[in-house]
Amino acid sequence: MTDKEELVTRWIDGELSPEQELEFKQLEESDPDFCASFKAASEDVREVLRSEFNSEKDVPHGDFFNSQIEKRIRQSYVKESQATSVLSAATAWIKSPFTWAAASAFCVMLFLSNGKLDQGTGSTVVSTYSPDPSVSIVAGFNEEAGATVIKLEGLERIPDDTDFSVNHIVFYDRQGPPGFVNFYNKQDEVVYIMETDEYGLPNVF
Amino acid sequence: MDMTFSRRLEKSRLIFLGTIAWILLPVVVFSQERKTEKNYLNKTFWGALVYASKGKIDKPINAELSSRLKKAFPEFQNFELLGQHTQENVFKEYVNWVVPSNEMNLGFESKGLAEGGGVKLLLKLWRKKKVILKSDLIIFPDKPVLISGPEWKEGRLIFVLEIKEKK
Repeated sequence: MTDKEELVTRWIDGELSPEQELEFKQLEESDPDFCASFKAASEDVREVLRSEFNSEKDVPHGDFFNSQIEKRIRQSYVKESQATSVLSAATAWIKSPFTWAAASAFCVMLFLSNGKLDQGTGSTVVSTYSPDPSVSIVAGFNEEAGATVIKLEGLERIPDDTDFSVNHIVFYDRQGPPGFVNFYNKQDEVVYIMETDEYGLPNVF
Repeated sequence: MDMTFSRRLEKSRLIFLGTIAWILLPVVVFSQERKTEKNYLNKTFWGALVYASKGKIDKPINAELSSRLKKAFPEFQNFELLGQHTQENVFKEYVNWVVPSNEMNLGFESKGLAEGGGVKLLLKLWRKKKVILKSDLIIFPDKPVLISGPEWKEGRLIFVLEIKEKK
């Protein structure tokens, strides 16, 4: 396309600047035949295009298209209002006197349940075991005595001459090397020292 | 303008309540732990070795314990205290002893607090160097554990273990 043709084409499309408008007028005056012929050709092309392509074509299934758009708009509105309603419901819930009443009741319940910790119900034997097969064990809570009773049968008898009053232990402490326990009598005298090995076996000295 | 202000007010109220909740929650939990720890340290263990007999005895024990023992061991009428002591601080996993002797030893380890103010214990009864009883149990205040042991003289030896609140 030459410069002349381009100028005329742009004039037909209405895209000329004021300077180009002057240039086009000069061309029209100097070469009116060229301008007339080019204008005519351009008009023909425009007519052909208009006749071949319908710019205002109907949308296929227009009703469905419109209904879908309306649906999307409604959905976006509902989401927005849901978010607002959740917030307002939470606020209303916090403000509600029933919420505060329930919270207070829960606190009171918590306080009372802590108080029960000190009361106690009764001792409970979870398990008993004797490595010695000749020993039998009967264990349970004796309601009448208010105590857990463990009865051992089949034990080796303790010699009658054993004098427990000699070893009358009043207290003990763990002063000294680790694993050593000192046992004291009423006069704060060490009666004996017990040492336990890694298996918990007590050795009395 | 008013709507914006009220929304802001609601929002700030929510933030305020949330902040209060976050502050109070650890305070409550911490105070509960402290209370549990205090409960644990407030307990004292009292242990005794008792001689149960059908015949006469030299030093009878107090009436309350005697009554309990009679109900638990009706075959005996008289009970004599051979030894006792109180353990102030019973720490978890440490072995404690109830009136130890060369013949017999009752050791117990605390395994922590139980619900209802009790203490979980592992009991071991030794006859010289041999374990004759192992028991896991939960002991509660003023609900003693009575262990009827071997025969001695005309009767039997009984261990008593009890927890009491510190005065």
